[in-house]
Amino acid sequence: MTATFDYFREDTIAALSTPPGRGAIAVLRISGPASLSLIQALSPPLMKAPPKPRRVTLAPLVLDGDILDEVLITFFPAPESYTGEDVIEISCHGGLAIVRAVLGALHRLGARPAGPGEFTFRAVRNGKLDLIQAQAIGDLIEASTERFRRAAFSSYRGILQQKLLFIEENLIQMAVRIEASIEFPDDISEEEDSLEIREIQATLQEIREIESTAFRRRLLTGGFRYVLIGRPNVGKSCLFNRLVGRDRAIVSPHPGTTRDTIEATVEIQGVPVTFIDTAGLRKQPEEVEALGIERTREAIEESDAILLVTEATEPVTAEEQQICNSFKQPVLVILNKMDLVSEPPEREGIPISALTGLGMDALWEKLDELTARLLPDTSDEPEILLSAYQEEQLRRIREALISVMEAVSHGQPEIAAEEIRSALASLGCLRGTVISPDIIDRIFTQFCIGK
Amino acid sequence: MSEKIPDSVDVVVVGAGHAGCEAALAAARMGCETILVTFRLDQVAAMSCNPSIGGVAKGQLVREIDALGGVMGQVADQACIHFRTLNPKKGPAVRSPRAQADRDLYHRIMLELLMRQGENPGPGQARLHLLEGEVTGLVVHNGAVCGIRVSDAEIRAGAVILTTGTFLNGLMHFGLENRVGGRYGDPASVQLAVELRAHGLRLGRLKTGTPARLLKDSIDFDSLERQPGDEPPPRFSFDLSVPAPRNQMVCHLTHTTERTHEIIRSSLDQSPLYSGKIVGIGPRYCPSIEDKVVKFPERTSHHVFLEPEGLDSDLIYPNGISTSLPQPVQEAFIHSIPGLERAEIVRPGYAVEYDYADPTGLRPSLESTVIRGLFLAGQINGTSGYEEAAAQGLMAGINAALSLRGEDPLILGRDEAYIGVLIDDLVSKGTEEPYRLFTASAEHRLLLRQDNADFRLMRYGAQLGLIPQERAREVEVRQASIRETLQRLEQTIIAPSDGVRDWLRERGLGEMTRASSLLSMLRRPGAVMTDLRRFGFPVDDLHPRVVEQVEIKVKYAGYIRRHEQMAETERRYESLPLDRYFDYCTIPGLRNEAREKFKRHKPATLGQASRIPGILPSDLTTLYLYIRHPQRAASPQPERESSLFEEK
Repeated sequence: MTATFDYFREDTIAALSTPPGRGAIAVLRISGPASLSLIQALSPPLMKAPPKPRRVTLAPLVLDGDILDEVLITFFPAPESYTGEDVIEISCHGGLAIVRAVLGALHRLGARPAGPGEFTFRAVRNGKLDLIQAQAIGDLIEASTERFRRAAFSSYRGILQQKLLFIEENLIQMAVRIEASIEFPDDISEEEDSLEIREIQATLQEIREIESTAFRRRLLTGGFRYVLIGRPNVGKSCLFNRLVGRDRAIVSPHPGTTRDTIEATVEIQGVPVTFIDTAGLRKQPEEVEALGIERTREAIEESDAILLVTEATEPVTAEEQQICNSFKQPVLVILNKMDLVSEPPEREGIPISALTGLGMDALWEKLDELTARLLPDTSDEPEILLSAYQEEQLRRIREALISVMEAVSHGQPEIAAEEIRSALASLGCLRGTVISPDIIDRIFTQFCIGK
Repeated sequence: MSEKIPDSVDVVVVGAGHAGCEAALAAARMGCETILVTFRLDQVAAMSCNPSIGGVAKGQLVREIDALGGVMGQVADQACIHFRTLNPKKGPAVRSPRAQADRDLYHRIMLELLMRQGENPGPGQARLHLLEGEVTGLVVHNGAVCGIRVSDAEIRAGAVILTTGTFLNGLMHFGLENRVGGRYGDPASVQLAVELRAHGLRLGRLKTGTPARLLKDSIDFDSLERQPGDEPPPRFSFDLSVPAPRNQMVCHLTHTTERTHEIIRSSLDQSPLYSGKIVGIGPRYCPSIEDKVVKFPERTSHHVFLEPEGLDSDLIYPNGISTSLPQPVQEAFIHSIPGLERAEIVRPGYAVEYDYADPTGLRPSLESTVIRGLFLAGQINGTSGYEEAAAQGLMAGINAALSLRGEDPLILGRDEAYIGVLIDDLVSKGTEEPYRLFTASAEHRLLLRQDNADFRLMRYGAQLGLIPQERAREVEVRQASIRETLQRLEQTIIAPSDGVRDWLRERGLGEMTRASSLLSMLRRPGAVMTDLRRFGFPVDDLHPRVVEQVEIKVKYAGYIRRHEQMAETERRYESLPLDRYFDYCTIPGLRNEAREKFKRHKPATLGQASRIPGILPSDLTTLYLYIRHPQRAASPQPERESSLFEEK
């Protein structure tokens, strides 16, 4: 926090922008109102002939009569520069001593050493970048794989921002209609004000699309989510307990015991894998009732793979089939309760008995294979990079929208309005239009100095 | 008015409209000898526009006024003749009482209250004097108000409350003709406006309008949709000693036609609004019919509510067609409305333009930042609506009295009351059109309900001496009972027996698979407190208000908790005070536009600063970091070794 405060000064800063260490060349950057006079003081020829904007000029750097180096100077006058201020970029020879001497001279002449991410921070402060772009720059710099780089670059180009703007517009339209129906009950007829479930679903779909095309940072750090789904009482919780090796989920013979989702993490193929136990899928013909499985749907959406638990004694229902088809994640069909039948049924699946442990070795093998397959490769094209913070905000928007649907179908417009407000607030955090000081701190102190 | 008016009092209130009456009564009841000055005592608490009180957000305001010890609610309960709850099928947070008033009765009951305060003030209270006359100027000494000039005399006062409504420099428009005045048949305060400007108040121009009044007997009601009041009628006042309201007549509903819109469209050149005669900005949310026709060309019809002006009145107020078109055009378009084919216009509609004082020049106590001891309330602050006016009047009266006692002002938070939202919006954002309160203006709408106004505010009323102590205690007892009941509901666990499951199914309350508390039973959509009788819960032993509050609290539980947390965070943020005389130019990294806005609005807290229009989140971040680290901000810049830096 204390470091951040310096960021609000309007002085001139300078720092090495290429990695410290020996190299063919090194690039130093100066930004602030005194940039030009600083470089002129260090290079007498530039005093007589100031460097032309955005042109490369060869010039000597002289301090106390000593020539430090012959360098290339590029002058970016405000506001058309990275930071929006006068910026000078110096490309000098990459020797450690040279860099140290040039930087020392700049500091001696009054340039303050820049803090981590301070150049980018100034760019945000001066409206050159939005917060999403600023984060993307951090990511671009850090990108170690091709996939990561591409995703970071499209975030930088504002693709995420565009999509979010569209979603925000939809949310605002919903809010306007709902608020109007509350404030002007005498002037607005029922048909005009009703918000339709499918309109909300359309926006929900937009968010899910962003998430599904997004390249999540946690894939880099490792970590998958496998969700257990199935009809009530097929033994999901029992299998869950076997998988995570503990008695975590409550197992009971009555259907519907698992009301909310339960998670636990184990390691497979050296990667942390979280299993999620869900409430059972029931036959849900009505639209309103169908909302009940939204939470499970959420868990599926967020997952990397689906474990469809079925009973060996019963065929797969059309519904189960449909659930599997409507998600693009890989599905492992599990034939549970093999202890109750004499031989495996004639359909695909991994025969096990969660109760006795029968077939668990074969299941673990399949899980190993699945995990190996899921580990990042370069085959699919990620579009957007999401930080954990951004992912969290998207999740909040998604949950709020589901609550909007529930509220609308229960005739509670004031609750719907409430949830739209909270979705808009999360969107504001995501888009960087709502900024709290701690977010700023988090973003900019993750940068290295000179960026 | 035979009594002698003193030439020196504690408080003078200028204007006896809805703001002025509340202000004068509050100040006098808090022990300040008060004079209420008005042009005409026979127009006290006049309903210059529609004869109704309440409505969405406004109904909530009236309940709050009542809980704090104001009088609008009790006068409305006695003077109204048709009561409804708006948004009855929506959730409790947006349900609002609204009533049609007998205009004359409303005036008489209010005048009686004022006179009673003059003749027989209660223990610890002071006398209220009523004075007819025109206030032409303020007496200001060393930046503080010390009296007023009225009808060539001077009255000295410790505090002055201006509630001038539409009278400050009022100008009425009838078609392209205009006439000086604040209301039909009344004069305007022209000299006072000149003085206020000279004292440095920033005045602007607003406009509002009112429709024609129609002769009741000339309307064909039989062909129109009837709109009876709700039974039982909802009440405004929490005070049960106020006689219960009664529905005494019905309203009727009709609508404009395509023919109506045609007539209006072809006469727009005769409208002062569209011909450039009116410069003041009108209310966007209570637009004139010509505005509606122009702005919503796709709509072929607008509702018109036919509201009687009183039980014995032969006038009908056609709500929804306020206009400033010339009388012949008004006649033509009114006759194109079903049921009004032969309607007779008793008085034409007109627009009125008036001066208002930029409310960003006020402290949250409604005291002027320019002149100490001067308080402003009502339309002079740019609001529209009787309820908004009354709420400000009450707060100005309370705060004038508190300031004379040397006590801190009462400033209600945005999470405590709509009154807090209203005043904070005005003083921190200002307004460029007549400001109307909406429930959507409150970020904590689910907390600020009409049903809990007494639980939120009555303790303040009692502290101020505006509410009897025993009523505040009663509220406390009830609050305790609500807490206890919630606790009991949470602790009573029901097993999922076959009987219970069958009953739930029968009631349409869903399935039950495991034991759960009565609280979670009540949380099920559709469940009500009386359902809990089945489990032996003594619902009938509880006070109806307790039953109601428990039900609402359970239904809104998650949201109420969320908002209480949000409000707490905001309070911490909000509570960061900003020095009014702070030099914003010294804050490094602040945009020039933000510096200008902060300098102009002089926000009292960081929260207020955040609501100034045009302020970006990044400006607040800068400001926030600055005030959190003043010691660093004050520390000198690093030493410079070169003179180059100073060259810039």
